[in-house]
Amino acid sequence: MIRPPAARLSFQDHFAGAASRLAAYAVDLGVVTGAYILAVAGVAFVASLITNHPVSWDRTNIVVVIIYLAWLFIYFAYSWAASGKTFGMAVLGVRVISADGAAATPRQALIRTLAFPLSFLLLGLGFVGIVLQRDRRALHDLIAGTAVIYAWDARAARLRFLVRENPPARAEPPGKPDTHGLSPT
Amino acid sequence: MGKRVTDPVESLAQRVAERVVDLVVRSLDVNALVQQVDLDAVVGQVDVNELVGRVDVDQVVGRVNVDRLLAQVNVDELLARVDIDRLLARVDIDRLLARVDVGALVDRVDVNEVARRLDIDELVLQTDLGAVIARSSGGIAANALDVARSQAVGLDEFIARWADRFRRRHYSGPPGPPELLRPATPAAPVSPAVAPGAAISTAEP
Repeated sequence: MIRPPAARLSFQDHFAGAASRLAAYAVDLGVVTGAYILAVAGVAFVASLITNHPVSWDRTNIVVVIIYLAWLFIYFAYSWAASGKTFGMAVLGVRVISADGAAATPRQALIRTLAFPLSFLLLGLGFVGIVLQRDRRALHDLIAGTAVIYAWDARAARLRFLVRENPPARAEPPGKPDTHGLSPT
Repeated sequence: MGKRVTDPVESLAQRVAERVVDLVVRSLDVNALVQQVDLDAVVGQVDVNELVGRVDVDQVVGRVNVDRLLAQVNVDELLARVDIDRLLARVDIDRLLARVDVGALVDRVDVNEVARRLDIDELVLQTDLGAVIARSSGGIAANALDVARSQAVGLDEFIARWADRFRRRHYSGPPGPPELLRPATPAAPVSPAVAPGAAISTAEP
């Protein structure tokens, strides 16, 4: 069984690494694309009811692609501007901030969203900074003056784990060898 | 000529006087004499304040060897004779506490250091605090999030260690914006062994 951190210290407010950010992006992509597919299917169904003709949307249709890109832009830009994190980032416990530690401004969120595709378009080289740079900033972070940090509290996670494994009502009597329930199961 | 006459006479008179005094002292019963003296009356005529006023107390105290005096005091025996309960019973605790500047006292306490020394794990196990946390932090969803995040952080650390090894740098944990990191939280020396995700299988092969 995977155990949460046995740490008193948390990485909260430290620069987030590549795996967390990639996983957050994957979640976001799934959410955004899934929502878009559902929306398109819904619109097609309503259109078919109105016109009495079957309506289908081809993914090669330029209109569908443009609307999809616009939806992506709105999703990321609004999320970063409003709270510094998208749904996927909230799940993975990371957050976008300004490089000086302050909250990201709407302007930074907008620039970051616009610069984000650049990191892809340069054959993915824009993301190398996350792995090699000490402050773990990608190309779009450098352009927008932002950074990504861990925003979740590992210490709270540790406490939750302890409670799950050792409910207080069944706490070990004093003097018994202290295992803390941490033995791998 | 006068001097030849007076010297023997004077010498004679002195010898007679010494002899007379000797005889008087021998015949005198000092105890009987003291008994006849009214000491209270004598003491009553003494002006004690004037007497004390003529004493140079500073000079007297200055001549006292305090160390030598204290060396002769058996402190243990002295303390054994003290009735602590009776002493404490005479202490007005409320009045004593009223004189304590709690704010100044608290200012001198390093709360962060105290918090660091707390064994939170043990605290959770021994108290109902854990139940409160469990109730307030959701169930399966929170658990799944903890696990997912821990795995991701573990993978982050694994990648970062290898990246620094590739660059021939010593990895000492992720840095962070100085403005966000509190002074009590050391950014650099965080050991991977005690870091989030450390319990996950992030050990290098």
